[in-house]
Amino acid sequence: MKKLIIALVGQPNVGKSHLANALSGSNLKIGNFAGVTIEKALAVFTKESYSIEMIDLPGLYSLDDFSADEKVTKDFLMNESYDLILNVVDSTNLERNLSLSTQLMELNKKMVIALNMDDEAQKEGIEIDAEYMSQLLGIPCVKVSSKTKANIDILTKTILHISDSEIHASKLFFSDPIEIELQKITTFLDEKHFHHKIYSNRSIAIGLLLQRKHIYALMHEFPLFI
Amino acid sequence: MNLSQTPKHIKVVIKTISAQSFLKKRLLSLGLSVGKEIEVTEMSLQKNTIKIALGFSAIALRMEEAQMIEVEVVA
Repeated sequence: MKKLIIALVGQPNVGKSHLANALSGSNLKIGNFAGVTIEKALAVFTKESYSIEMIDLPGLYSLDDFSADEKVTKDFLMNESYDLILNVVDSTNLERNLSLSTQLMELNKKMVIALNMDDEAQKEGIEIDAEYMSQLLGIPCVKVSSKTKANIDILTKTILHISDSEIHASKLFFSDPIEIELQKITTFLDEKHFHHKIYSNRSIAIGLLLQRKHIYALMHEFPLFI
Repeated sequence: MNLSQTPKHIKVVIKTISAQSFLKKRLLSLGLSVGKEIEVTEMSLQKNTIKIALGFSAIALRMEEAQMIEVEVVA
């Protein structure tokens, strides 16, 4: 049986734990307010030929280390091994939620986006074109509701399908001035024949430009002369 | 006008946010960015905290943070 580790990531109070319960039949504690999950929780279940370990992480607004529980999640995402990120987003607050998704896309991991609370969104008159969104992001997006259990099966199938297929390069693009600078840094790294086993040169360039501490620390170890 | 001077229940649009990078990033990840339409919905008795509505969510801010957010009434 193949083992699959899934990290559930999303902003606070979007229904990560509720979705974990709906997917796995587990009984994690949930509540309608931010900050219920304060440490990693684990749900284990089997589906088809997979033994799936789902890690429910505390919610966070961004990967910027704002508070201790946000750091738990960030440290996990940066340092631990897992196969796939299941990014849970609140369909009624999509714009705010997607700012975290773009940061997750920088991590170069397999990713699936669960557009949760679709029942609420429909009630509010919000209709999301999940198929178009998947094309735009290059990440499968599935509309689900952990409350009504709608599309939970489709989400599980999507996760298994993605874990079987090759990882795609992220479709994260910035505005032109930033893209030009990224291109310069990437070209410089390419010219120096720099290769890192985890990060692509492009993601290192992004990390340097956005002043990500871990990328600075990483690059500090390699002598690159101009 | 900044957000701390904004009367309740008036729709305003964010013009500038003059916070340091760390706080600015935090406000951005909470969904507060230039061009967003917001509305003050509550104010604490001592006027040191305000509650604002942004889309389908509510955010509480300290008055000092509200002072950094410059807004304009929606015409």
